[in-house]
Amino acid sequence: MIPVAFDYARPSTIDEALQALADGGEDAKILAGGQSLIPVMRLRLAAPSTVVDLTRVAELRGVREDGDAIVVGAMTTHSDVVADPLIQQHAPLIAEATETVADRQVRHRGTFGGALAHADPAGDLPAVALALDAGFVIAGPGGRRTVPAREFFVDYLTTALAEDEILVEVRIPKLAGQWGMRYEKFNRVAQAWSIVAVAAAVRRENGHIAEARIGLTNMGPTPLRATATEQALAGAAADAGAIAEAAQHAAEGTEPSDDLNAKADYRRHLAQVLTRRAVSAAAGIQG
Amino acid sequence: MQLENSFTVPVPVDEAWRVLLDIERIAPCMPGAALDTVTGDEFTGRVKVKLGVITMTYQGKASFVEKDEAAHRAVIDARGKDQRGNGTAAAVVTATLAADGDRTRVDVLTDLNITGRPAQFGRGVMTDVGNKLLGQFADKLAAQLGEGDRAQPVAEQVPRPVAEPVTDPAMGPVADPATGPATVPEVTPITEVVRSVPSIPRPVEEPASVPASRPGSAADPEPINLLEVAGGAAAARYAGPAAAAAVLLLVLVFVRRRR
Amino acid sequence: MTAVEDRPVAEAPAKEVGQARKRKEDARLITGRTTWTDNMVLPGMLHLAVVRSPVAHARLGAIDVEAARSAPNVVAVFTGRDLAEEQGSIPCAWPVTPEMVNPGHPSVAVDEVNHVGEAVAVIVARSKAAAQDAVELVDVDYDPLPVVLDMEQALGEGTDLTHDHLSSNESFRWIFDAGDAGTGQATDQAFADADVVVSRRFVQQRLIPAFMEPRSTVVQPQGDNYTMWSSTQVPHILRIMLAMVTGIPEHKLRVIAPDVGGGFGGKLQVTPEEVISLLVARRLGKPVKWTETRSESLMSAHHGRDQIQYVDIAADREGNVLGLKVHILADMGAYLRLVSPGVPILGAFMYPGIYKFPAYRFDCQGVFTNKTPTDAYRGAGRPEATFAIERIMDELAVELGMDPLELRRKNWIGAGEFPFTTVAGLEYDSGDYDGATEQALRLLGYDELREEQRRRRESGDPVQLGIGFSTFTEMCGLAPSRVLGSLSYGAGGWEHASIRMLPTGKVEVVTGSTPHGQGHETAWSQLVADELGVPFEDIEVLHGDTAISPRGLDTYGSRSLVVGGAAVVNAAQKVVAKARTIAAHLLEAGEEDLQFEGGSFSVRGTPGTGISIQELALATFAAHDFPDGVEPSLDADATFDPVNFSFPHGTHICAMEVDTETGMVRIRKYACVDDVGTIVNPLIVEGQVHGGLAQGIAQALYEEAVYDVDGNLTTGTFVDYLVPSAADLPHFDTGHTVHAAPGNPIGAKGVGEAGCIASTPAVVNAALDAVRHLGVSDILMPLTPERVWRAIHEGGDGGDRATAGTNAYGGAQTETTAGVSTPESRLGGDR
Repeated sequence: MIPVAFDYARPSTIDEALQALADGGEDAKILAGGQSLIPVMRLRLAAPSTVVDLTRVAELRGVREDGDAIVVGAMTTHSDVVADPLIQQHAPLIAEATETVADRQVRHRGTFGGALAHADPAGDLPAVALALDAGFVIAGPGGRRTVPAREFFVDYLTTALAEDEILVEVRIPKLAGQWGMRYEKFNRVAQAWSIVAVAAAVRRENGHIAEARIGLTNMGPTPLRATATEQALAGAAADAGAIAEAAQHAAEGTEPSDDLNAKADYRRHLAQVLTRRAVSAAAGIQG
Repeated sequence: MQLENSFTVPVPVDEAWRVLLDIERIAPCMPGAALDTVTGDEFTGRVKVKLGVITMTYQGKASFVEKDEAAHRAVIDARGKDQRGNGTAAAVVTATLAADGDRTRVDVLTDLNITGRPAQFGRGVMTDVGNKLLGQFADKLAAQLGEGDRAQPVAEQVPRPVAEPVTDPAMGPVADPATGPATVPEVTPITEVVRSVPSIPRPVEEPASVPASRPGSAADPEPINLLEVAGGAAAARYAGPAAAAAVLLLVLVFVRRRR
Repeated sequence: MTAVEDRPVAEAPAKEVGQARKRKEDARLITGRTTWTDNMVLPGMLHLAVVRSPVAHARLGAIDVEAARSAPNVVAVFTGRDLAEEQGSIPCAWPVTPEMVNPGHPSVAVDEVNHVGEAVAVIVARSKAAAQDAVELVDVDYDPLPVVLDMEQALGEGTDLTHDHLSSNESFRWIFDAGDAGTGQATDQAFADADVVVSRRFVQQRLIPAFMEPRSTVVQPQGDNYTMWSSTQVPHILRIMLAMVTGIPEHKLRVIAPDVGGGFGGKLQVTPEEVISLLVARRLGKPVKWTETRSESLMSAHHGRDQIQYVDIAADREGNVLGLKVHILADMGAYLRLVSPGVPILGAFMYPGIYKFPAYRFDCQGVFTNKTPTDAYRGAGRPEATFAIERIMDELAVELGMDPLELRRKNWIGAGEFPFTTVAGLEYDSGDYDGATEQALRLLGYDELREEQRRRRESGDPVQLGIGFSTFTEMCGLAPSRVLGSLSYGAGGWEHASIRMLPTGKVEVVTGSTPHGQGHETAWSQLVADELGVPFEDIEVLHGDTAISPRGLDTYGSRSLVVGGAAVVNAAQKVVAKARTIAAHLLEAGEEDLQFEGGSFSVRGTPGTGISIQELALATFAAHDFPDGVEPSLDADATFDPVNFSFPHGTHICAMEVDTETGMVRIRKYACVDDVGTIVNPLIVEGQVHGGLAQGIAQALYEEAVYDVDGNLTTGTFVDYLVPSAADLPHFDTGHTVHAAPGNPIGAKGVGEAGCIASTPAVVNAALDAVRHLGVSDILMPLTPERVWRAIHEGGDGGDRATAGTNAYGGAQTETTAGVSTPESRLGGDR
C-alpha cells in the first residue's frame, strides 16, 4: 500500500537532523532503517507529516571503544553489529541476539538504535540492552543527556526520547571478570518476533555464580529484568539444581499479554524454562 | 469483546444516577478527547491516539438509547470511524446502579466491537488497552459518583471563545435544533495541541448552559496518553490503534451532555 | 540390406524426457525481466482502488462518495448501487446438487456486506496513490447484523443467518453411499458387525493460498473489444465466465495471463476485482489497472480448507478395516465462488485412501459463514481426505494396540491388485505401496530412529521423538469430462495443444494449460524435443493468451502434464504423421519404408537419405514440391480428454522432536517416496515435491487464518499468518518409484499436489507419536508450541488461540474468544 504523502528531509549531521525534526513539527518521524516505520506507514497506521531520514548522518554509524565502554552508533546496521570485533569481544550477547533479528535483508537495513528507539518489547535488542545496563546517549535541542536502560524503556513502544530528540549512540559497559552470555529466543518461524526470549549474562567466580543479569523479551510492555532470579543466583552454586531453582522466579513481576502466539500463563512458563536454559548456557553448565 | 467493571460508591443510588446522567461531570473521567457537537441526546467527537509510531484519529457519535430511571440503567450506543478508513469501532455500554444501603453499586458492561486494520493483528492490544482504559475510567467515575451532588465539574478549563458557526469539512454542518444553524468547530493545526507525548489527559468541560458548538483548539483531540492507557499491554506491533477505538468509544459514551 | 541397421547415431540427441533440465523460464522470472500484470503501463491508464468493508455482516446504509469523488485526480467512484444493473453475480460453476442454495455474489456489495474485506466501492483515479488516498474519503454507514462464524453453531436451531434473505446457513448437502452406489456394502451393517469403532473429530483449519505475486488486473477497451491481462491461473475459464457475467460477447473479449507468480488454487477464480475492472473500463472507455496490496490479498482473495470432519472407522480385532463413515462440514465462507462447493466433493472419493474398505459413506454439508469465501487451495479436497484417513488409521492402530504401519500393510491394496476399483468406485491405475514404503523406511533410517525414540522415552528425556506415516494416494489429472459431468461440474476436463512448425525449423508449441510457475515451457519442450527430434532450444512454448492459445482449460489439480502434456504429445505425433507423407514424397519412397529417428526420416536400408523434420518444415513453407492433394502444413493440434484420473501415491514418513518443556516441535527427519508415474523433468518434480511439502508442513505447524468473534481476520499480515521459509523447514530425503500411468501417452500421474496432500498427516501423526504416552491423542492444527504444551500438560487438543488480550485491571473481566471455538474442540478431539 502507498503511504500518505509526507515531507522528506535527509540531513547529514546530527545538528541538521535535530533542526529538521524541529522544523517538521508534531508529526515528524525519524527514519532509521525503516524496518518498522515504513510498514506502519504503508498500512496507513502512521502518517507522519515529515520523515527525517538519518541514513546520511555518518557520525551515527559505527562501533568504537571509549574507556570502559564500547559505543555503538545508533545508525549502525544489525549486520555491522554482528560482524563487529569489539562487539564480539566485549558484548557477544548483542551479536548473538542481533543474529536472531528477522532475516538477512532486515538485518542489512535495520539499525541498532532504530530497534531500541522503537522499543517493541518483542524486539530482541531492548532486553539485551537492559541486561547489559546500556546507557542511551540522546541529543536534543538543549544538548546531550545519557539515560540508563532502566529508564529508557518507558512503556509499550514508548521511550524516554522526547519528540525533538534523537538517539545518538548506546554505551555498553565492558564487563570485567569471567562472563558467559546466552540469548535464548523462542519463536515459531525464523523471521518472527520472539514469543518470549531471555538474555542472560553470568559471571562465575570460584565455582559459584557471582552475578547474573537477565533480560526478558516480551514479558510485559517493556523489556524487564528477572530481578528475583538474579538475586537468587547471586552467590549460588553454579549447578543445574541451583539454576533451576532460581529460574522458577523468572516470571515474577512480569505482566505478559495474551495473543495468537501465547497466552500469559504459557509465557510465564516459557520465561522460566528459557531462563534456566539461558543461565545454564551462560554459566557453562548442562541445563 | 465484553469488558466489565464494577465498583461501589458511598452515595445513595438516586444521587449517583443524577451524576451518571450528567455528562458534564462524567466526561472528565475519560482520558483525552474532543467534543464536536451536542444535539439533544446525541454527541459527536474525535480522539487522536498516538502509540509509538502509530497515530490514528477516530471520529464518531454516541447517544443514550436507554435511560431507565426505575431500573437505574442507562444504555449508550457509540460508534466511530477512523479518519484514514482503517476501520470502525462500536460499543454498547450498559451502566446499572443498584442501591446498597446508603451506597450504590455500579456495574458497567461494555460490549466493544473493533473492526478494520487494528483488529487484523494477532498481537492484539485492544483488550489490554480497552480494559485498562475502562479501569482508569471506572476509578475516576467512582470518584466522581462518590462526590455525589456536592461536587462541581472538575475539568480543566479550556479557552472558550465565542461560538461562531464554522463548517468542519470533515463533518459537514450539523444542525442543532437548540442553537439553530449548524455549528461545528474549526480544526486548528494539531501541532500545538498535541505537541508533547506522553501528554496529560485533558478532559473536555463546559458549563451546561453553553451552546453545543465548540470552538477553536478545544475541539482538537488531545492524543490519548498511551503511557497510561496502554501500560501493561504488551501488544501487537501494529495493533496499538485498537486503543484508539476503545478510547473513542468511552469518550463518546461519556462526553458532556446538554440539559 | 546390411546386417546392421544404419542409424544417424551421431546426430541423435539424448532423450530429453527424464533429464533434469534447468527451467527455461527461470532466468527471466528470477531476475524480474518479464512483464507481470502490475508492470503493464498503457497510455491513459487509470488506477483502481477498492473500498472494503471492515465489518463482517451489516446492512449497507448511506455511502457518501462526494469527498472521494472531488479529491485530486479522482475520475470516478462507483458503489454497488451504481453497478447493480450490470455486475451480475460472481459465477459458481459447480452446483453440486440441484437444490444447492447460492445466495448470489455481487462483485461490489449492494445492500449487505457479508464478510470483512468485501468490496463496497471502487475508486478510479489517475494515479495509484490518488486512488488510495481517496479510499479514506468514502464514508459508509454500516448497520451491523449478527455475525455467523462457527459452522457447528450455524447449523443449529434458531441460529443467526449469514444471509438475511436465506432460510438457513446450509448451502447444500451431498451424500455418497457406497452401498447405494453399488460399489460397497451397507455401511451401517458394517459398523454393527465391527469389533472396534473409533470416532474422531478433526479440524481442517482455514488456510490462505498466499501466492507470491498479489493479484492484478489490467483492462484495455478498444472499440467494442476488450483485452484483459490478469494474474490468473485460468485465462480461458475467466474469458468464458466474464462473457457470461458481463454480457460482453466472448469473441470480443481477450484474456491474457502473462507470467504469473504462483496461485496454488488461489488464482483459480473469477474475482470480483476482475469483474469490476472490466465494468469500469467499459463505463469509462479507458484502460484501468487494479493491483491488490498484500493485506487485501490475505483478506479478500479466496481462502482454502476450513472443514470439520467427523470420521468413524470400523474394524475387526485383527485390524481388518470394515467400514468408514465421514461427515464433514465445509465452510463456504459468505459466498459461493467458482468451485467452492466442489472442493469438498473432490475429496469425497478419496477418504478410503489406499485401503480396501468394504463399506463407505460420505456426507457433506456446505455451510455459509460471514468469512471470506473458500475455494481451491493446493490439493482441494484431497488433502482433507488424506489427513482424515491417515490420522484415523493411527487412531485405530492405537485402539487395536497395533503398529500403525502394520495396520496399513494389512489393509492396503497389493501391488498385484491393480487396476483396483475402490469402495468409492474409483479405479486406481497402478502402483506399489509396499515398495514405496520400504524405500521410504530406508531413506528415513527408521529402525535407528525407533530405537532412539525408545531410549528417549525410557530416560524421560524432555525432548521426545515420534514417527508418523502417511501412505497416501491422490486423484490427479483433472479430469475425465464425463466424470465431471456426472458430478455436475460446469465444464469439461480435456486439454488442448497445437504445434506450429516454423519455416526455419523452429517449433512453436501452444498449450491450453496456462502455467503460473510450474515450468510448462521446459517440460513441454522436453516432450516435443523427444517426439519431433528437434533440439530443446528450438522449441518455444506459447500460453496464457486466449488469442494465441484459443482453447484450453488451464492449470489446476495436477492436470497440466497428465492432460495438457498428453495433448502436446498427441499433437506432436500428428505433426510427425503429416511430415512422414511429405518426407516420403521428397525421398521418393513409400511411407511404410520410412523410419523416423532423431528428428529425421530416412529410407530403411538406404544410408545418407535422411531429411530432417526441420528441413521438412522449410519444404512445407515453400510448398514448391508437394504431393498432390496434401495441404502445405505440418501444423497439428490435439485435444486430450482422459478416460480416468491418475493416482499418484507415496509414503511419507516424518520423525518429529517434541520439546515437552516448551511444546516446540522440530522435524528431525523427513523422508518421502512418491510415485508420480513417468518423470519428465526430475528437477521440476523435486521442486514440486519440496514446495508441496513446505505447504503441507505449513498446514500442520504454522498457517491458520484466525477470525475473532466479530469476524475480523486477525491474521491479516504475514506477521501473524506464518508462512514458513527455507530456514524453518528440514532437509527433505526424497525418492521415487515409477509405475507409469496407463491413462496417458506420457505415463505421468501428476506431482503438483502430492507433497501438500501427503505431508500434513505424517507431521501430525509424528508429533502425536512423540507424546501419546503422555496422554495426548489429538492436537489442533497448526501445532503451535502453546497448543502442544497445553495438550501435554493440561490434556485436550491444545484449544483455540487467543485472538484478544486479557489484562485484568481492577474488577475488569474479559472474555477471551476465538472465532471457531466450540466446546467440542476442547474435548480431546473425540465427539
